[in-house]
Amino acid sequence: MLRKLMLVGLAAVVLFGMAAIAQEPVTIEFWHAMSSGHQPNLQKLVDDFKVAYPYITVTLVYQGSYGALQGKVDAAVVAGNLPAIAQVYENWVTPIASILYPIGNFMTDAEKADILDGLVPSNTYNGVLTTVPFNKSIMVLYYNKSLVTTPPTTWAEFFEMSKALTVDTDGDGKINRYGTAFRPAANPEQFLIFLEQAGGSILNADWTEVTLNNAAGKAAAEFVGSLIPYSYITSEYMSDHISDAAMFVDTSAGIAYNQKAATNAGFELGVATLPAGPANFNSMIQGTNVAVFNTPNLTQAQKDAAVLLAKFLIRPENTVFWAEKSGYQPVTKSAYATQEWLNWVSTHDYQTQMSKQMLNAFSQILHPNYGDMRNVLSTGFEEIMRGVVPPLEGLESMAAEIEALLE
Amino acid sequence: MWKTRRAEAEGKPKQPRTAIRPLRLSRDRTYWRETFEAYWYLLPAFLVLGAFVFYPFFSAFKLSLFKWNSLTPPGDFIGFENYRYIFHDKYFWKDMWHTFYYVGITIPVTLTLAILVATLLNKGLRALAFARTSFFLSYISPIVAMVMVWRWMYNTDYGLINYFLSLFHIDAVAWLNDPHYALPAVIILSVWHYVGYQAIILLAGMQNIEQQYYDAAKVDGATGFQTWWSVTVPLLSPQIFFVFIISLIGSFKVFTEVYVLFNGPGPLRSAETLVYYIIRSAGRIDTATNHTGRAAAASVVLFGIIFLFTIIQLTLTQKRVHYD
Amino acid sequence: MRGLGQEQSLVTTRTESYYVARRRAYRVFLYVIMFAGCAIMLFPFFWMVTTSFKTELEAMRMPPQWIPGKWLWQNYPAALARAPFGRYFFNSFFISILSTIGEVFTTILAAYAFAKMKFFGKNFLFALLLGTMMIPGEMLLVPNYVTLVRLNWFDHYQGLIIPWLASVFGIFLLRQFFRSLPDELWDSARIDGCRRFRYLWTVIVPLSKPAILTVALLKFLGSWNAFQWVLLMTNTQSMRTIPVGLLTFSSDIGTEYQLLMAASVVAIVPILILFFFTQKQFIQGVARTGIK
Repeated sequence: MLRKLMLVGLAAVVLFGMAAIAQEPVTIEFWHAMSSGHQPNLQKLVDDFKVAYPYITVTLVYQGSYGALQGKVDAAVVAGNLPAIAQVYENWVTPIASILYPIGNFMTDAEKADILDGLVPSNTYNGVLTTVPFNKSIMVLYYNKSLVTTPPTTWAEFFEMSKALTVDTDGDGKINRYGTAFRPAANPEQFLIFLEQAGGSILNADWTEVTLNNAAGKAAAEFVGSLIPYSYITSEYMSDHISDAAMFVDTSAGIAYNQKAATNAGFELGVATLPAGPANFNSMIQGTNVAVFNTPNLTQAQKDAAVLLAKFLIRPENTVFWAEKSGYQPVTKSAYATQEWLNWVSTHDYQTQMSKQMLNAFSQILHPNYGDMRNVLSTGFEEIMRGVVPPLEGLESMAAEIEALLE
Repeated sequence: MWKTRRAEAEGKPKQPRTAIRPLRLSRDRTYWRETFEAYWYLLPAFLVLGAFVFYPFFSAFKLSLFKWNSLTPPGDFIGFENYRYIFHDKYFWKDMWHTFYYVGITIPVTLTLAILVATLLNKGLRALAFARTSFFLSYISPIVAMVMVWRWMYNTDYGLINYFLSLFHIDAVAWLNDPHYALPAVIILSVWHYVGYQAIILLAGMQNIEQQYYDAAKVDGATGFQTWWSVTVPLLSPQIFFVFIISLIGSFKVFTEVYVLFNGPGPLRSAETLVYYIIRSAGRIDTATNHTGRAAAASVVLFGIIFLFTIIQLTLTQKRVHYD
Repeated sequence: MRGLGQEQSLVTTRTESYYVARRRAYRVFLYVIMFAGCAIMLFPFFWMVTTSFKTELEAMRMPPQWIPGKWLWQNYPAALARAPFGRYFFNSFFISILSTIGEVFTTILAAYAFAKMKFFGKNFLFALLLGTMMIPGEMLLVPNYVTLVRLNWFDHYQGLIIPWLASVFGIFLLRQFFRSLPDELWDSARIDGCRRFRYLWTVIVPLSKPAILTVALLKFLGSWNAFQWVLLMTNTQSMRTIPVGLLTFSSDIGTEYQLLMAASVVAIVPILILFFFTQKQFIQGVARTGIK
């Protein structure tokens, strides 16, 4: 009897052992564009992943800037040697959505529901969660603490303060410091934020009609138009013009550089959520997601491993670790509730505001021509802000150009 | 006397006839044997260029007739639709104008300055090796260092350029933020970047001019400027011509200077050039979508323009350039 | 002059000293211009070196802080620790040297054929060659990527070296030089029964050393600085080169200037040494590139 039991036990051990062995070692590449300052943190995540899944080896492959990474992904699509997983922007992969491996199909409903609401649409293709958010930043309001004591909470306050803070300090008839600043060519998202806050959108829900120039769009255009006299317009980084404006809307990812620039200029920088428009105070999320590819050069085991990695990266502890180290924002709701993150926020004042803004956010639409639409917005928004065309006229011509991109 | 010499030199047949002149029949055979041998000489270079330059170029040409789709490359054949699109795109024409503006000013200014710098360095001053190295260093310094320094030079409030302008009571210019000055800012940067390199080539050419020409000029009582104008410049014409051709081709392809200076196409796209247009269409800037077909069509047009200009230049200058 | 009266002599002396003074003033003026020119040219280099010793705040300052408050030597080890620069240096040398040698070989052959041989289709082929200089390189990247993947040269040294073994610029440059050599050399060599191939390597090449050196130096410089190709055509750290290492100091949000400049100074040193030791021949080589 005992012998029998022992045999059964042995058989069970062997079977389990075989099951473990059956997990053939698998190696996957993860293409990214993170500079060397971020690389050790990314490596740490990958090392932790190796501990959790010893049979999977992830090779991090640095591919240069985002532009270079995009070029490489494009070339690899044609040549057929895509990696299992890569960091991607939405509009790189919208044209090739059919070769994405839908990560969401391998996630529980709870896991999917945990992703921040603002991030779900920009990762969902044909109703299926396909990519998962990775390094995300949000547009927030930065302000010069020595000039602004209470940041504006509404459009009206924003306008009044911008006006009041625009000054000619030396009385030579030229403005030395503006109330606010815009980077219209580099950041048409600044306009999209006002559009969203007025309750508008570029297109209607099923992308059949341009809604940019409806009533909400007009309100947004008129509002930015009213700010022109009090706005410093540039296409350079705000950190290079930190003293030119008292407050400005910029990405949360720029905090480190903006703060250093402010230190050099001799003041302290504050961070606040955006002033609210007629509809809301939502802001726009930017940054990359991770995509798993479904191409013939990849084995099923590699795709499975990549899905595991994608899911691993959005585990609360990992998205929090990444956010703390990199300055990007956590991407899941549960992450914001972890003790670790609460501790971090309590010692990093600006994070309170950024976190609040992350929960009130939207992201870009996944229209295949979004890249072209963004170019239209970038050119048109700059023409408005530099006073080349009146705001409403500029809005109409942008709408007309976007209309042409719908076909 | 020195004038006569020049005339002689100009009239001299370019290639001395070969001493041995074989019969016509055998000459034909030698011709084909030489052709066969020459092809062997060309083979290694053409193998490499064929695979990695000609072939991709012809595939780019082919792509210009397709609506690019990376999933099923090259996508759908659409004839000349890409060309029609770019010819109806107002930014294509604006960028074309910017490119011509840039080339039209950069090349003569750089070349003139380079000749002057070379002349200066040819005055037999000391520390020549130092000067040469400085000019070369500016050419090989990393572009980001170059840009940082120029961003400071162009700074509206504390830039060196506006400081000099203020000495002449000229108002401060927002070099990097005013659409009227963006392209001039790129031009000044380019002139600065290439003048040293060109000057080194021209200086080398000057040092190669034989003393006898200068002696002859002296005998004829020419002044310093006359000598420079009638001896140095004409005898330098082969180098000037070489630099001209190379920099013409290079300037039509200007992109990096614009991109790094403005981190974009400049205010109101005022410094956007043709190659910028191409790279933007190909989706390599910001978040543009991928219009490889349009980019290819614009490349073909740019290629045509440069090619035309080079041919015109080759034929126009061939007669004027003075060969030693 | 000696036979002239005292009065006149005085005048002459005055004039001479006037001329001497004027010439001296002129030379001083020339020196001032030259050094001013050098200073403008050296600014970026100066900024690069001093920035490599600054703190991050100092490096970002505008107007620039030219001299660091404290010289931070530790920027150098910090920068070099960011990427496997040892391996990158090896690769840069290996790739640059091999592709330079290879390119010099193919260039000499092709340039000689275009300069001195008569053959069918010569002008057509030469025009074709010049035409390729006019193609924006960006257009060629994707097709070349596909080619390398198909040849299985992707992420291998072959893919980093072989496509760069020929250069139109080099052929153009060397052809100009070869054309300046007299044909009589070949005629006499031929009478001595010398084969053309041997003649090329034993007579022409030694005569053209400066020009060949120029082609080689420019090639080495180009190869040393190339990053777009290397980045696109490789995936593993062990295949990459120094410029790729330099890229990693920049992100879409900003650049760590002090580290980037420290690494850049290290990267530029080999080129400087090379230029320093070859500048004389280099100048000679360039000197004749324009000569038909």
